[in-house]
Amino acid sequence: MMKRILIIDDDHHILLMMKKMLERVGFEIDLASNGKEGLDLISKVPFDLVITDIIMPEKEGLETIREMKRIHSEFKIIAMSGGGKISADNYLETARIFGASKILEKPFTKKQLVTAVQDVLG
Amino acid sequence: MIPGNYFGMPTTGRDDWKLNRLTLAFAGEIRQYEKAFRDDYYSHSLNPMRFSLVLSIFFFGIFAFLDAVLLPDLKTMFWIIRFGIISPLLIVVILFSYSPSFKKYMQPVLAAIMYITGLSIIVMTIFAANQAGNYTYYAGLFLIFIIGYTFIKARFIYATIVGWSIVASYEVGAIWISNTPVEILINNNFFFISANVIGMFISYFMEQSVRRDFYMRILLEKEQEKVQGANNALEKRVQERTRQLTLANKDLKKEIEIRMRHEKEKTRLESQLIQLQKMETIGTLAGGIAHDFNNILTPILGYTEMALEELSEESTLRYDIEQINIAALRGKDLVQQILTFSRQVDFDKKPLRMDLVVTEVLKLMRASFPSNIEIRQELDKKCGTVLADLTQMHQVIMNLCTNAYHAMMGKGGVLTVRLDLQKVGAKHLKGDVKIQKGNYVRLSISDTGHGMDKRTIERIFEPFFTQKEVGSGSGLGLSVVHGIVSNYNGTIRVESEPGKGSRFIIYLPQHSDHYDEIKEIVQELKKGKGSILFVDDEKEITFMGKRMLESLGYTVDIRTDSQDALKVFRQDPYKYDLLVTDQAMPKMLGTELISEIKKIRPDIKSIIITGYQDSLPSNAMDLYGIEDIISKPLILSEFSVLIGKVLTQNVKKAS
Repeated sequence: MMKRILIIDDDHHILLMMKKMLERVGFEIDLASNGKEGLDLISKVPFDLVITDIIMPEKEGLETIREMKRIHSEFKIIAMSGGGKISADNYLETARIFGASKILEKPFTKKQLVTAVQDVLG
Repeated sequence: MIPGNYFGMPTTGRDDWKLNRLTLAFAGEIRQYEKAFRDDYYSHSLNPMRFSLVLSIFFFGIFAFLDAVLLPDLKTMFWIIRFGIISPLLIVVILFSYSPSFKKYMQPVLAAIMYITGLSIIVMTIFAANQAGNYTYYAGLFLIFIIGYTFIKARFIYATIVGWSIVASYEVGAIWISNTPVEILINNNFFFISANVIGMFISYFMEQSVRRDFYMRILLEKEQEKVQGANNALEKRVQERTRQLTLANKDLKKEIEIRMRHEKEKTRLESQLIQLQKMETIGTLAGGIAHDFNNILTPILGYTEMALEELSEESTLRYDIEQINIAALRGKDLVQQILTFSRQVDFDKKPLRMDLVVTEVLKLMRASFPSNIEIRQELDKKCGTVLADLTQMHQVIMNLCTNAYHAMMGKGGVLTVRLDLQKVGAKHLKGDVKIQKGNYVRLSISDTGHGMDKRTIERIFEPFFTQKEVGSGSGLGLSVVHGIVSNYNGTIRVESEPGKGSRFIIYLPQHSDHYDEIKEIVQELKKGKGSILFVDDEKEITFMGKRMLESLGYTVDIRTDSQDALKVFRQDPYKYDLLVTDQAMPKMLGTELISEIKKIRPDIKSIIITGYQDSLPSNAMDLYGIEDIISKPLILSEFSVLIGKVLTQNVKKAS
């Protein structure tokens, strides 16, 4: 059975690119443009993995991760960021503490993305 | 106008002016001045008195001629009186006047000689009348009166007594001894008494006038004393005031100076604060830009990668898309630099001995500097350590040394690198808003190059500000240095003068003052032999690489164009033992160059230098048959070890 992944990012280009990358290697992909949309989808559809950006409008990434973990503590999450006011490292480190299994620094290669996803999904 | 008294004599206009009417002595309030007046009168009278005595002797002598003509019979007796008694007496008085005790007896003595002289004339008058019927000799007494009341300086009271005594004596002599006829007696008395009274008035007014002068002088002196006193008091006050003013002036000057200093300090701090805020704003801005840029780069790199996967090796689009990939990778590198500047990248902090780090970098720089640039180093080995990332420290020192090199390019000069420990106290703190109290390791790098003007100094730490030609640098160098130093709570200062050179001073907080227990973090440079082809599209890097590798003992050829490099290799494939190439190059990637070269000579060893290790697949080494991958910035020690290792493997394989 195809594994189903939800990608959350406010950048539409990145969403489409990641969808294309991951569909090529055989995943089913859903997209959300902010944390709120993502959480709505999670309540309706069972996902194997969520990949979320950290700095987003509406619902911010770290908050989204926390809420998802509250809903289901076994939730597998990959956090990604392009850095910002503090370093990407810091954000991602925090994300890890909140429960993200893996972290991805933007920009990443397809290989890095796929490897990360495969690692998390086993 | 001074009001006059009834004699027309001017008075002082003061109530205390009072004289005894008869003796003319000072009376009442001014009695106290009598003694002083007499002393004064005496000293002023001495010379006129002597002169009048000499004059008296002279005239008394001259009348001897009259005796001879008019009374030849009495001549002998009269001459005895003139030359035997009176003249010697007057001479004795003159001589006596030179004695100090004369002062006490002056007035009585004068009175006495006046009387004696007068008496001698009376005697001669009586004899002349009795013996020769001559009644004219009495006229001599007028001379006595004239001299006695005026010239001889007898006081009024003495002169008056003597005057009347002489008149009385004449009366006695004339009436009882010489039987002078009544009409002559009356006649002579008229003249005598009149002359005597006039003499009295003259004497009276003279003395009164002298006394008045004296008193006026005293008053004047008193006034002068008062004025002098007031003057002195005034002078004193002026001096005191002047002193106060001088002090106040001094204080004021001091205050102005302090104020000006404060003002200057304030302006400096303000401008520093503004500079700091500007840098921070730029930092925040840069952080935001970096974030967005990474988001933009993500799909560019992602789609490019996917496009390349789908393209066949022969596709004409392949080259074009690879160029997009290279450009995007450059963009990624730039973002990394911006993040470093805006302090948003964390590094591996370790205690570092800066003297060792500097030594290592200088070793490298020395190799890449032309011979007309002299490098001087004065490093204090007891500075202890700073907590920092080694690579970043390399970057800082390399960057500043490279800038110094650029500033002295062509003309040559001296690069001085100094390292010492600086205690930063409250005094130093004033100058810098950021730096805290404590011990700092101070690194100063100075050149004798073209220097910078004030405007330039203000802007050099801004990102993208460059003085070099467009295209020769990103302009991020010093902003990155600033970012790194600030990240470690240090500070950087610049001193520069156009035409004279620049000095960059970096203060890094001392981590520990132990300096001998720290392990040498700088590895030994591994020297070796062999021939290397070094390829990088950036000219400066190839020069640096050549110097670096040559300093390790290798023979090095450099190329900035990958296709050119391929051509050179094709001409003599066995000339080189090792190919060192940059990955991101236009025309051909490093991995592609290696693939092409391997087609010519499969056993050639190769090393890829990359600033973007991520962009190489993790199996790149196997995929392209690369011996090793090293990331920028190149650190001589690591590089030397790596090359040594690769070449040794080579030898092993060959043997």
